[in-house]
Parts: sequence; structure tokens; C-alpha cells
Amino acid sequence: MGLYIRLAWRNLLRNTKRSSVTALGITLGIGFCITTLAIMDGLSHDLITGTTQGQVGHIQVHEQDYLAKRQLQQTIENNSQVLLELRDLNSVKAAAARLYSFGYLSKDDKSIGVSLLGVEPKHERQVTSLAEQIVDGSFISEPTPWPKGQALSEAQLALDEQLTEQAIANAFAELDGLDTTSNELQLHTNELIDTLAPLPFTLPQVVLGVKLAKNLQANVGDEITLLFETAQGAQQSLQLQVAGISRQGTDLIDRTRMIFHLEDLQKLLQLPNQSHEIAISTMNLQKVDFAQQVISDVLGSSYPQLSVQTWSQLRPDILALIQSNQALMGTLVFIIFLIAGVGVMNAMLVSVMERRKELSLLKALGLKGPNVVWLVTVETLVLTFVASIAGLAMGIVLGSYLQKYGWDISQFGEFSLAGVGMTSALKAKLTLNNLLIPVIVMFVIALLAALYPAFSAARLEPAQGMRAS
Amino acid sequence: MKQLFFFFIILLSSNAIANSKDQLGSWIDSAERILRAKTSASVLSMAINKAEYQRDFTLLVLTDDRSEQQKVMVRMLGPALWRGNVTLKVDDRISFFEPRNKRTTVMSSSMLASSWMGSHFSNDDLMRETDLATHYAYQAAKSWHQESRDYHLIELTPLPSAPVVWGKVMYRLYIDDGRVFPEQVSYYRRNSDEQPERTLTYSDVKQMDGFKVPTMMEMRISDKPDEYTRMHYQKIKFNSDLAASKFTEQAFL
Repeated sequence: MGLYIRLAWRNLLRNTKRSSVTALGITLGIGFCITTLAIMDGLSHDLITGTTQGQVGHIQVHEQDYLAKRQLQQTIENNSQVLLELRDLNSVKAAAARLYSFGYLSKDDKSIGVSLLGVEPKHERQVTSLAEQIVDGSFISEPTPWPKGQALSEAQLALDEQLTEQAIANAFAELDGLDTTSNELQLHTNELIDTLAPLPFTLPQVVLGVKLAKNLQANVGDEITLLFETAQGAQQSLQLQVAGISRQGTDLIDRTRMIFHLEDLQKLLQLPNQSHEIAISTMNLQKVDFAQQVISDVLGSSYPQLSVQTWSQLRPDILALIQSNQALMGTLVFIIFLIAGVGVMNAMLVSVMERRKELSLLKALGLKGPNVVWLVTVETLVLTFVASIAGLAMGIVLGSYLQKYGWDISQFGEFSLAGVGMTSALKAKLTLNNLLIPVIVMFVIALLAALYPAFSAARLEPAQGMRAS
Repeated sequence: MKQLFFFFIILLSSNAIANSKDQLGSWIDSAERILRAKTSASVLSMAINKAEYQRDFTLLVLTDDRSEQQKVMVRMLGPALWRGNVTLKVDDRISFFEPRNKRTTVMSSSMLASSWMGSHFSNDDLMRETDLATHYAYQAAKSWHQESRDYHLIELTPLPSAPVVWGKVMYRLYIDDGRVFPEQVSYYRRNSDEQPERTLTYSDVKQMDGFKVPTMMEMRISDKPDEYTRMHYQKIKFNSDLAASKFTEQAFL
């Protein structure tokens, strides 16, 4: 074996120029493959973290039909109890409840349809990067102090009926041209409303999407009016104050989203202790399926109406995007290897042809066919080995540069993939797999490429070969 | 000569068809307007019965069809939580006013299809322009005579470019004393559907302000047989001289 390697090494050095050009091909092949794979992994990683940290979290819990219909009433009841149980689990790092609805937001004479999102700021910070998307003002911190509403007493109900009668009488008197402006009626009514549904002590704070704020011309500190429908099906309006402005990166969300404190939105929608969604971040994203199983088991017995899904079940489009990315990059890598392989084959073939005389002499001296095959193969492997080391070095240098500094693609503008806002720098991610796979595949291809020259050398007839000029 | 004769026959018959279509259209128009006339002011109670909640409202509804812009104003008279809330529609502009914070929200026409105050009526239903008369093609499906009344079932299919949600509407009306009364309107999501998605029934005909009118309207959804919204007219005044200022946002304050 040592002899073969020595022989191979000497043969390679005999034509340094050719050997080094072939080696350079292999080096570049491996180096670029490592970089490509690293960029691909970086992109997948960005997509996954963008998805999980953007909004989805690692795992979500819903009422089982919520995702299909998204109706206001399809809530997780007993929200705080479910959250307590979830936060107790070892695999759960954080769990944050959310509430969704729609409304109509107006400022001065401009009105825009908005989607409402209620979050628990303290817990949401640990699950997603929602709080870091603030571009102006601040994120929501505490729930708004809000007096508790009470049902009306018998006497108040009677008064209410009397007031309705009064209002009917007034309305008709008004039609007959009589003046019935009565402040007293509204005054009494307001007293009743304050018992039933008191206003908050201070204006509830909300965060607006950056484009929504721009379209409404609302700045931090401004008062806005929201018209919404409660879970009891009644329209109501409420004054709010803009606490902050956020940029998520997706046009639709920046144009329509409005963030509340969960407790404020629960109060508004009259959904006490209820949420539509619990987003969970687990200790280890790699073991998300296991965590899902644990959570399903825990919730399954006491809350059979809840369903538990992982991010990849919630966003199958992201998973498909990652897979199609991988298929694309895989094809690219395969083509690079194919070209490098043909290069190796060419180099070895020429080298064998050149040494016909010498190989024939060796054969005439008693070197057997298989030994000739072995000699040429070892030569190829030695060449590939040397080139691989150089390729690895190149891949590591290029990959770690991209891992550290990224590839700035901001000149192409802000972009999002399948609704996931992406950073403007494409970052690579080097893993052991990314380093080893190109090298191993290169060895296999070099081995295959060596076979034809090797066998053609082994088939040489010594008598004819020696006669060659 | 013979050709001329045929020509006249064809002219006459096509005229007759056109006439009967106009007839159907005007019947529907009259039926739709029975509770509106030129102007109307009515007090009605609305009972909403849904799985999630039950609620009763008392409403004052003013309508004014004297001008091109069909105007509707709904003021809620009770109970307390909603007393003084006003919904106003002039053309496609809907505005909503709440007295407690004295704010008016103007909504786009995209809100027309959403439910009014959680009832089974949409904003569009309640504030309806008589769009059935303009956006649909009519076809008589059945006619019969019963209890000295002429009944007609009319099939309405939307005109190609009509901005409507329903694929088919079956309108059952009857003619009594020369006046057209609506009885049942079934709304089908698609033309080919067997079952209507929702059905509006008129009943309880009574004398109000000198006219016989149905005083009960009930909307039911086929999917949820236990749910309904019922509107019960308690008082109506027709053709009174409503001031135009009642249909402006200034009138809320």
C-alpha cells in the first residue's frame, strides 16, 4: 500500500502543472459546494426562525376547529389554567396566549378595516420577536386598569324599560315636529351603561402596523377610535391611544395589524379568560415533535377539544419551500460534481495514455492487471485527497465569512418569503454535514471517474504498448 | 302581406313577454317598498336568537326614498347599552355613531355584507335599497289562487354584472285588493342549490297608518334551524315630511 502511494505521488508530481489544474477543479468544486450548502442551510434556518419567531412559535394550541373557521367564539376556554399547565412542562420554554378579531379603526375622517391581536407582552417576548419590531414608541406593557361591569339590578332594569318607552315616545313626538331634546334621557342611560360596561380609567394602549399608522396619519400618543363587534354580537366603539408603531415586514400585516394587551382585548370582546391561540416555544426546536406529543398527552385528558400543532404543520408551505430549496441546491451541487468528475477522468485518462510505454513495461515485468487498476485508482485518490483538503479549507474560509458577515442583498429591497419577513443579509450556516458531504461525494465520483482510465490501462497489451512512440 | 302579419305577431308577443317581465319587476318593487313607501318612520322591536346569545332591541327606523340617494337611519332606542346608537346610510356610505364617546365611524361599502348588530340581517338587508328590482332578471315560476288572493312565485337570477351575493332568489308574493304583499323570500347561494341559505318570512298583516302591511319579518338560516332574528313593527307613519337634516351626521349629536 505504502509503495502504491509513493508511486502514485511520484507520478502526480511528474506533471505538476496538469495535476495542479485537476486538483484546482476539485478544490473549487468542493469549496463552492460547501459554501452553497451552507447558504442553503442558512436560508432554511432563517426561514424556520423567521416563521417560529415571527408569529408562529414552535408549537400552537387551538380549539380544534378554530383554524378551519376562525370564528370569534371558537376560543380556548379556561385560558389561564391551560397556560399554567403548559408552563409547568419541562420541554416548554415559554407559552403566550393570543386573541384575534376584526374591527374598524378611524381617526378624524379616515377609517380603515383592521385585524386585532391581543398578546401577553411578557410571555410573547420569549416566544416571538413581536416586541422587537417596534420602530417608534414602545411595546405594550401592562393591561389597562378597567372597572368591572355589573349586571343591572331589578330597579335599574325597570328604569331601563321606562327609558326605552320614553325614547319611543320622544322619537314619535320628534316626528310630529315637537321639540323633545332631553339630556336627562341620555344622562340616565349613561349611568346604566357605566354600571354595565364601564369605560377604562385610562385609554387602552395599542401598537399599530407601520403602514396602517401612515395611512391613518396616526403618530405615537394620538387618540384613535375603534369600532368593533363583541362576542355577544354587539357593535361598540372605544377610544384608544397609539403606544407604538411596529414593522413586521409583510405588507398585509403592516397595513392592517393592531396589537392590544391580551386582557384589554378580552375585555373589549367580552371573552374573559379566553384566547384563540397559545403559541409555545420549546427548549429544543430539533425535538419539537416530541414536545408536541408531550403537550398533546397533557392537554388531551382534561381538554379534549384542543388540538396541538407544530410550526411545520401550521405552515406546510414553509416546509415545502425549504424542501424545494434543498432539491434545487442539490441539483446544482450534483452538476458541479459531475463537471469536476469529468475533469478528473480526463486528467487520469491523459496521464495513462502518456505512460502507455512505461505501464506496458511494468506489465511485461510482471505487474498484474488488477495491480495496474489499483495503481491508477490510488493515484486518483491521492490527488482527490490533497485537493479535498484545499477545498475544505476554502469552504470553511468562505462559509465562515458568510456566516459571520452574511451576503448583503439589501439592494434588492425588503423581501419576504411565503409571508415570512426575511433579514436583508443572506447568512450561511456551516455544519459538519455541509463539510463532509461534498468531500465524501467527491471521493465517490473521483473513484468512479478513475475506473475507466484504470481499466483501459490494465487492458494494455505489453508488446503493443511498448512499441508506441 | 303574410310576412307583415307574422312580423306583427312577433312584435306583439315579444311585447307581451317584456310586459310580463316589467310586471314581475314592478310587483317585486312594490312588495319591497310596502314598509317604506316614499318616506317611512317606524318603531320596531328586533329579537335576535342565536346559540351564543339572545338579545332584544327597540329601533326607530327612518327611510327616505324621495331622492336618488336612498337614505336610511336606524336609531336604537333601547336597551340602555345601545340607546342612542345611530346607523346611517346615504348611498353606499354607512356611518355609525355612539353617543357615549360622541364619535362617528364611517364605514366603506365592504361592510355592507357584515351582520348588523349581531343579527341575522346584514347591514345591506337592513339598509336595503330595493336592489332586487334592478340587479336581477325575473321569471315567473308558479302562480296560484288561494283564499281570494293571487299568489306568485318569482325566480330571480342576477344579471351578469350585478354586484350581488345571491345566485338565486325565490320571491313569493300575493296580490290582495290590488296591493302587492311579500310573503317569503328565499336566498340561494348558488343557482343550482337545492336548499336556500336563508329565508325571510313576512307575516301578521295589520292596519298601520291607514295601510294594510305585514308587521312581522323573520330571518332564518337553513344551517341553524334554531336561530332566527325577528323584527316586529309596532308603529309606522308613512309619507310624513321627514326633514333632510335627519339623515346627516350632524343629526347624531
